[in-house]
Amino acid sequence: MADTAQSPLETATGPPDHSEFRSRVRVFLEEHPLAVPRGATVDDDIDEADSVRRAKTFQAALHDAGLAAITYPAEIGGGGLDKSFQEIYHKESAAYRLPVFPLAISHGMCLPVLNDFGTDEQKSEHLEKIIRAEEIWCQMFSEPGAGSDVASLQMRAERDGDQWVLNGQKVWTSGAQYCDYGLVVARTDPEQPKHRGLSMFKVDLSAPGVEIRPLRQITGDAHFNEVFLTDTRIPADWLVGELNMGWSVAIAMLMYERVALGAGGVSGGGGARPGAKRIAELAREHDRGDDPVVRNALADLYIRERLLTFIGMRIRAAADAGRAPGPEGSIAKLATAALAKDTTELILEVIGAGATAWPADDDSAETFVMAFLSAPAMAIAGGTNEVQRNIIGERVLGLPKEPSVDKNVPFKDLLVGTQR
Amino acid sequence: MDFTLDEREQAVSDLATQILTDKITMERLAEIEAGDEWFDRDAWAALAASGLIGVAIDESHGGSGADLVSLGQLLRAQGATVAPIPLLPTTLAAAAIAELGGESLASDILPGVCDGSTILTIAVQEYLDDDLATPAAEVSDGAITGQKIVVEYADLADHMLVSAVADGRSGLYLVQPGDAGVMLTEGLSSRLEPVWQVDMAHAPCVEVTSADGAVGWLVERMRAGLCAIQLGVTEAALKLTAEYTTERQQFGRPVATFQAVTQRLADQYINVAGIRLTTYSALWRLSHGVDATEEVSIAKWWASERASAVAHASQHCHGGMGVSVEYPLHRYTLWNKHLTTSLGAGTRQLREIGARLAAP
Ligand SMILES: Cc1cc2nc3c(=O)[nH]c(=O)nc-3n(C[C@H](O)[C@H](O)[C@H](O)COP(=O)(O)OP(=O)(O)OC[C@H]3O[C@@H](n4cnc5c(N)ncnc54)[C@H](O)[C@@H]3O)c2cc1C
Repeated sequence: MADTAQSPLETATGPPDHSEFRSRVRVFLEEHPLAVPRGATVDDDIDEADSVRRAKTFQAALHDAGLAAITYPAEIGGGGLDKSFQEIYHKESAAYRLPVFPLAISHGMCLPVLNDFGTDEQKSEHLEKIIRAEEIWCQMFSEPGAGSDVASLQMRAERDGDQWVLNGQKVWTSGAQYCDYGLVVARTDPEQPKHRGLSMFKVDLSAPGVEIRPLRQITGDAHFNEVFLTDTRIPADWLVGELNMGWSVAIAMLMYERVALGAGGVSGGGGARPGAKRIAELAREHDRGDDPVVRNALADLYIRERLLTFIGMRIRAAADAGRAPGPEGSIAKLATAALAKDTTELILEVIGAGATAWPADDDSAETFVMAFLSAPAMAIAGGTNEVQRNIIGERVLGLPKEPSVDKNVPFKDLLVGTQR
Repeated sequence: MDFTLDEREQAVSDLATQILTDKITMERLAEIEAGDEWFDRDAWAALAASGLIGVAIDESHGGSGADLVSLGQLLRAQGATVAPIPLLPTTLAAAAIAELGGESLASDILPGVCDGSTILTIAVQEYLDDDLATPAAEVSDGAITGQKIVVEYADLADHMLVSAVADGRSGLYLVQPGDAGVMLTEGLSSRLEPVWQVDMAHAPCVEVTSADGAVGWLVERMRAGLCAIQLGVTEAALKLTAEYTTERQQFGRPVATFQAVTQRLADQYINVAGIRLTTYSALWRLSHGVDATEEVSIAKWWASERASAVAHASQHCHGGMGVSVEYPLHRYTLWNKHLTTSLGAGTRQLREIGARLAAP
C-alpha cells in the first residue's frame, strides 16, 4: 500500500501521460491472475467466502498499482487522476471479467455517499479502507413495511447521551453477511412528515444487538438478509450528513445505485451478463446459428446493448465532470433490467431442451438457468421499474406528481407498517 | 363444446382441489424439499383412494372411465398446488398402454396404477433432439439401447414408457428402471427437482406398440397435459398476486391501486383466460378423437409465451417478496418456467403452426 499521499503512478515531474497509463493498466490486467479475459473459461463454482477473498485480493493489488478509485484524491486512497484516466481504465478493463462483484454496493454506492456527505473523520477513517476492500459496506434502506415507499421506514434512532440507540428491522440487505459496515437510514424525528425526520448512520455490523439472518432467493442462493437491530448503540458522531436530512443522503445514494446498476458498475467495467456475441457463439454450438428467429433476436439484443453502452458513457462522463447523477440513471436501470430478461430468455431458447434439465455436473446449463431465474430481480432491486418510470415521468417530463395522501402528515400519525 | 365443465368434470376438479389443498400445504412442501424424496406419498394415496389417479382409465381396469378433459382438471389441480407427485407421466403412460397396447399388458399394469401402487414414467426426450418422433434409441432382440433425459421419477417408477426405433419404425416400449442394463444419473430440472438421465444398454423391454404415429400420439397428450398443469399454476399465481397487492400497502394505499399494477394484472387475467380456453379446446378435441395438432400447438404457445408473462408479472408485483423463497410464490414461478420450456417453448409452436399455414 502506498504510504505517501502520492499516487504510485505519479512521477516526480507530475501525472503520467495517457499512453504510459494505458500500458500500466494493460500490464496489470494481463499479469493479475484474477483478471480473466472475457471468453476464457473461469471456475465459477466457488463459494461466497472465496469470491469475497478474491475481490479483496484483487482490489488491494489494484490499489497498490494506483488503479483503484482513479478520480478520487490521492490523500484518501484514490488515484488522484482526472476522468480521462478513468475512461482509459474502463476501456481496457472491459475486456476482462474482474472478481469485484461483492464490492459493487460498497464501491458504487457507499463510497461516493461517504465521500459526499461524510465528516472529515469518517472519510479519513474509512475511504481508503473501502477503496482497498479492507472494509466492505452495504446499503440498509428497505424494511418489511417500506420498499418502494422507503421514506415510510420505521427503524428508530434515539439519542441517549453521546450515543444513538437503534431499533428496528431491515430486509433484503444484499451482502450483509460479509460486510463490515452498513449505511442505515433511521427515523430520528417521528413528529415530522415522513421524508423529513430521517437520518443516515454508519453501523458496525459486528456490534452487539445486530443480528443478520440470511434470506434465500429463488435460485437457492442467499445473497440477501434480514438485519435486526436491537438496542444497538453507536457513537453520536456516526451520523452521516446532517440530522434529519437523511432523505437527501438516501436520494443521493439511490441515484448512485441506479448508475451503478445501469452503467455496469464503477469498478467492474461491464456486468457479468453475456452479450449478443457470446450468445451468437452459443447459437453456433447448438446449431441454431442459421435460424432467422435466433438471428433477429440476436440483432435486437446487439442494438440495445449498443444503446446501453452509450447511456453508460454519458452517465460516466457526467459523473466525471462532477455533475450529480440524474434521471439517465433511471433510464439505464430500466434498460439494463429489460436487457437482462431478454438476454437470458434468448439463451434458453438457444439451448432448447438442455434448459429443462441438466446433468448434475453440467455447470454451464445450470449457470444459464440460474441467470434466467435471477434476471427478473433486476427489475425490482434498487427501485422497481414502476418507481423508475415515475421518476422519469415526474422529474424529466415534468408530469404532475402522483397524488399522495401522506406527504405533510407527521410520521407518527401515519398508518404504516406496524403502526397500522 | 361450450367451454364449461360438465357435472363430472366439475366433480373431478372439486375433489382433486379439495384433496390436494388439504394435503399440500406450504409447510408440507418445505418438508418434502428438505427430504430425500420429491414425492408426497400421502397425497398420492389420497388421490388413489378417491379414484382420481385412474379417472381416465377404463372401469374394467379399476378406473372411472372418464376422458382427457376430466384428467385435465386433475392436472390443473396439481398445478394449482404445485404438488410433487408423478401425475402426468403415470396417467399418460397408462393412457398409452390402455389405448395403444394389448389387453394383457393393460390388465397387468392398469389396476395397480388406479390403486396407487404402480408408478409409471415417460422417457421420450433425448439430448439436443427436438424431433421426438424419431428417437435415436434402438430396439434389437427385445432389448433397448440408448439415452433419455429429463425423466421424472425414474428412481421411483415401476415401469418407464420409452420411445425407441425397431426395424426403422418408432414405437413405445416398457422398461423397468431397476433392470440390469439401465443406469440412472441424477440431474436437476429448472423446477429444481431431481430428474434423471437414463442410459440403457441392452435393457430388457416389452413392446407396447409400434403402430405409426404412436410417439406423436403420446407427445401430443403430454403437451396438452403440461398446458393443463400450467393453467393451474398461472391461475394460482395470479390469485396470490391479486391478494398480495390488495393487502400490501405503500405510499399509504394498497399497491393494487396503482394503475401500473392494476393494468398489468388485468392483462395477466386475459393471458390466463387464453391458456384456459386453448387448453380446454385441445383436451376436448383429443378426447373426442378429432385432429388436435393445431390446437395443441396453440395451447402450448399460450401456456409457454403468455404463461411467462404471467410469471414475470406476478413475481414483479410482489417486489422483493417474489424473489425470496420465504414466500410461496417462487414455487409457481419455478414450475411456470419449467413447464414453459418442457416439450418445446413458444417459438417451436409458432414454427409448427406457421409451417402448416404456409405449407406450399
Ligand atoms: C436482489 C435484491 C437485492 C436487494 N438489495 C437491497 C439492499 O442491499 N439494500 C436495501 O435496502 N434494499 C435492497 N433490496 C430491496 C429493494 O430495494 C426493494 O425490493 C424494492 O425497492 C421494492 O420494494 P418492495 O420489495 O417492498 O416492493 P413493494 O414496494 O411492496 O412493491 C410491490 C409492487 O408494487 C409496485 N409499486 C409500488 N409502488 C408503486 C407506485 N407508486 N406506482 C406503481 N407501482 C408501484 C412495485 O413496482 C412492485 O411491483 C433488494 C431487492 C432485491 C430484489
